[in-house]
Order: sequence, then structure tokens, then C-alpha cells
Amino acid sequence: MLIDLSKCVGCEACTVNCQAEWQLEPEEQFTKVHRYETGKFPQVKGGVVPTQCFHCHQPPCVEVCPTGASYKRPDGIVAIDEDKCIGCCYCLSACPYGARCFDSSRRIVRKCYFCYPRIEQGKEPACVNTCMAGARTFGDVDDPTSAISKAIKETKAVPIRGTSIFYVPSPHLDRSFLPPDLKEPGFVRWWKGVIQPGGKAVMAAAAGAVVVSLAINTINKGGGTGGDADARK
Amino acid sequence: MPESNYGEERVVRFGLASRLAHWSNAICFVLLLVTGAALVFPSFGHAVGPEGMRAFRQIHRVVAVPFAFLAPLIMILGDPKALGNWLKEIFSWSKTDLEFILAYPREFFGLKAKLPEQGKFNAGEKLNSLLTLFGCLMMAITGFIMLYPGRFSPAVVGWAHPLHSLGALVIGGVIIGHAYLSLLHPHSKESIKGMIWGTVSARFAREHHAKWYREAVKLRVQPAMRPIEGEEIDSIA
Repeated sequence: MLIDLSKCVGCEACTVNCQAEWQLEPEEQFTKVHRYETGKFPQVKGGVVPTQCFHCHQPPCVEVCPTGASYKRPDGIVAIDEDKCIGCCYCLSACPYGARCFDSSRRIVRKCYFCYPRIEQGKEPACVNTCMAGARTFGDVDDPTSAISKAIKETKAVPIRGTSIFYVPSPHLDRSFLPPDLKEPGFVRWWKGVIQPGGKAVMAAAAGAVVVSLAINTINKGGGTGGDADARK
Repeated sequence: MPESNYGEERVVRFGLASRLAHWSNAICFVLLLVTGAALVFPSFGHAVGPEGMRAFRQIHRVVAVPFAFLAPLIMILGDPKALGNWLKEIFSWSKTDLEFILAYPREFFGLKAKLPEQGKFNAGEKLNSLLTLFGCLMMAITGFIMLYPGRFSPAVVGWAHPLHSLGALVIGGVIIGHAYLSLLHPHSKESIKGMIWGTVSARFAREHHAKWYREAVKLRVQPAMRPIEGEEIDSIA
């Protein structure tokens, strides 16, 4: 998705239409509009930056999900199988963009799905459809002939690396106000790559030692320590 | 083999508060370990299914409360003296403790081992106590952070997750060894009686905790009941 901040007026229609489309509670927002101000009075400038799920190429949320509820579809959309989600919220802390919200009534995690049910019907996502400023473009960035690919070229849009989102920066806000490129939080790699395998190895070693000891003691009938071993059973 | 080999004399090892605290901690921890394991072992999680895992999540959150508060409360209110003694013992380490730890694996695997005399808690039990004490503290703190992520910075919440996993798996390993030694290991099975009924046989006390035994019975025993040569055996139960 391409979001053109030179066009966005910060009206938040995207937030509201998304909430209507997905029947969200007022506090649940799949797409949020952040407001920034910069400079010192009287030289003040401001701008808005809408964010949502960035549909990362290698999503940390999918990496940490213990049930496989968070997954990446073949078309690149990161989705949640809401029947599989148990609401452990691991993904909430793994998401560097704070794009996920907890549905407290159903006790599951939800987020922007790029409106894949609408896309499958050939429609645009709800936020794109409702944007009166025409600031949002959705399409296949892998297809160089698509409207979005042409728009990205024309506007020299900034890609948020590692994700599926591009921005045309606002004339008033420089790159530093855009969300950062994807960087997997440090704890995710430690957790999944080092600590969990290591911890499992510790547990397996303990179980293995017990089995070996049990076998030796059974064979020896508790022997190996002299004649009275039987007496100390 | 008949238990009577241990003789009839019993020595008091654990008071009621210590035993209640031990078992409340044990029951809570095992429940937490089983309900949490579904998130770490995917095959187990699959077997349980999403509905089961949601139930596990609820159980995990409910049991977390007695896990964090019940055992400490029982000890502080019920037997602060025993709590103090236990803490004092597990934090005092000497060269003989190190010797014991180094010699113990041979004993564990049923080979001949020469183990130095031990006090009320042998070096293995002290190590187990320390791991349990700090492990449970770490689990309670990281668990609290995960329950209330809104109160902490994202980095703190993030790192709480791997630490929670680490604590669970390491103490899980410790518990496997601990349960085996107390229930099945031929030389230390007697210790489970101490944790259930409060007393162990005088002979077990003499052979496994000689220093403590001399304290406990103030040398009441006749010389004939000295431990058998080369038989300083002990457990980490």
C-alpha cells in the first residue's frame, strides 16, 4: 500500500470506515492517524502519518505466535486465524509498529488484514475506498505495470524496508517522522533462536540423566555402593 | 526390602508449615508448567487444541496468584524460624559443598562415591533450593509484567517473554531431577517421607545429614549406631 502524505488531510475517515468494516469497538483501531508538530513558534509545521499493520516480509509476530494463528498468506498479507488465536499476546510485544490490538470481549488479537475479504471480491480495502483525499493506493507492488507501482515511481515514494508499505513524505515532515524500516526486536531472536532450544535441551538432559540413572540402579538393584545397598532401599 | 532396616527411631525434619509451603509451591508450579508447556511444545499445543489452550491460559493466570503468594505467606506467618534457617543454610557455601557437588554425579548414576558429611540440607539440596527460590522469583516478576504490559515499557515486556520461557524450562529440568531423587532413587527415597510426614528415620539422618543429625539429637545415639564406613551417601532430593 502507498500512503501519500502530501495528500492526506488527517480526517481519520480511514480509521472510522475500517472500524465499521470490521465491527470494531471504539478503542480498537486497525489504522491510526498520528499527528506531529515540528519547529518553534512562530515557525511551526505539522503533519499527519497514518499507520496500520505493515504486512512485513518476515513478520516477527508470525515468528513468535505459539499456535500458528498469525500467518503469512501466499499473497503476502499477514493474517490471523481467529479460531486458532488464544490471546497470549506474544505478537503484541513482538510487533515493532504497535499495529495489533487486543479484542477484550473475544480475548483474541486482531489487526489490519488489508481487507482481504474485499480484495478477493475485487474491491479495494475499506480505508482506500473511503479516502476522500485519494491519499491511499492499494495494489500489487511486484507487478511493474500496476497502478501502485507506477505511482511509487512517479512520486519517488519512500519504501519502509522489510514491509509492504510506502509513503510519500509530507512537505512539512522529513523522513524521521515516518515509521522506521523493519527491525526484528532483539528479544525475538534470543527467545526463539537461543533460549527456547537451549531450555528444551536442559530439560531433555535432565530427563535423559534420570532415565540413565534409573536404568543403572535397576540393573544394580541400587548397588555400586557396597553390600548394604539393598538394606538402604 | 523391609523399611525396618532403617530402625524405628524417627527424627523430625520438616514442620507443618514447611511441608504445606513445599506442596503448595509444588502443586502450583506443576500446574503452571503443564499449562504453559502448550505454548512451548507445539505438538502438545496441537494435541490440546485452541479451546484447551484458552482454558490453559485461564488456569495459568488463576494459579499464578497462589504460586506467587501462598508459599511465602505460609512460611512467613507459619514458621518464620524455619524460613530463616533455610535461607541461612542455602546461602552458606563452603569447600565441602563444592566437593559434594563434584562427587555427586557418581552417586546419582549408582556408582561408588565418597561424599563429605552434610548438614540439614546437602549441597545438592541447597543448589535446588537456590534455583527454585530465584527461579520462582523470576517467574513471578516476568509473569506479572506479561499480565500488565501496559504498565511497562515495550522493551521490558519484550524481554520478559524469553526470560519467562528460560525460567520455566530450567526449573522444569530441575524438577525432573528433584522428583526422581525423592521418589525413585534408591538412596534418597527416604527423604520424601520427611516432606510428607515430617520425619525421617534416624539412620537416614545419620548417613545423609551427619552434621545436622548430631545437632538434632545432641549425640543421643549409642556408638553402635555409627554410620557404616565409606557410606556417606546423599541426595539432591
